[in-house]
Amino acid sequence: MNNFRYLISFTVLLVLFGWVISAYYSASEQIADFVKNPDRKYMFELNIGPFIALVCIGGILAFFIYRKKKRNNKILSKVFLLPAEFEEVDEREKMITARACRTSYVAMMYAGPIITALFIFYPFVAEKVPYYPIILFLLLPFVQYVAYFLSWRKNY
Amino acid sequence: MVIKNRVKELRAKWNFTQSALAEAVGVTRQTIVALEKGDYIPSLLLAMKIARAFHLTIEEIFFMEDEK
Repeated sequence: MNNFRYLISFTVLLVLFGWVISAYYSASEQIADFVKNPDRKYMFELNIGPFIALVCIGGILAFFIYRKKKRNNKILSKVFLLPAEFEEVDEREKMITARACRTSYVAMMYAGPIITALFIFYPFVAEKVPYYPIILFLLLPFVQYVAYFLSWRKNY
Repeated sequence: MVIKNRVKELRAKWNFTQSALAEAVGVTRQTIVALEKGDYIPSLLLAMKIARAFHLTIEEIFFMEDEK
C-alpha cells in the first residue's frame, strides 16, 4: 500500500514545515520587538535547525516519491504539479481517487469550522503556545489528507 | 441489482493469468482482482475490451444476477 508511505511522508513534511514556520514566527516577533525598541544589541535570532531538517529530510522524501511517480507517469507536468497520492493508472483507480477527493472535501466542510472555532482558545494559550495558530492551520491539510487516505484504503 | 461476471472462469479456460489479462485490457492487476470478486463494475469500454480478449460478446460475460 503505497499511500500509507505517502501519509507518513506528508505528516513528516507537515510537522517539519510547521517547525520551520514556528522558527520564522519567533524571529518575526523579535524583529517586531526590535522595531519598537531599537536600543537592543541584536535584531533577531533565527534557529536554522528546522530549516536544515526540512531541506534534508524533505529533499530525501521528495526524491523518492517523485522518482517512483516519474516511473509511472510519462508527462512531466503531471509528475511535478499533481500530488503524489493521485494514482490513476486505470479507470478503477480514477474512481477511487474521485471518491477519496469527495471524502476529503466533506472532511474539510466539517474540519474548517471546528478548527476556526478552536481559535477562540488562542488568548488562553498564547503565552505558553505562541505557535497555536500555525498548528491549527496545519491541522486542516492533515485532516483532509487522513480523510483522503482512509477513503482510498477502504475502496482500494 | 447485482452485475456478475464470468471473468475468472473464462480466464482459467483461456489460461490467462490475472496480470496477462490486465495487460491485455490495459488495467492494473488489482482491477482484475476486484472485478472477479464482484467489487467493481467495469465501464462499457473495459467490458468491451474484456469481451474482445475472450472473443465473446459482453452479454456472455456480464449478466445481472437474476438473469442466469
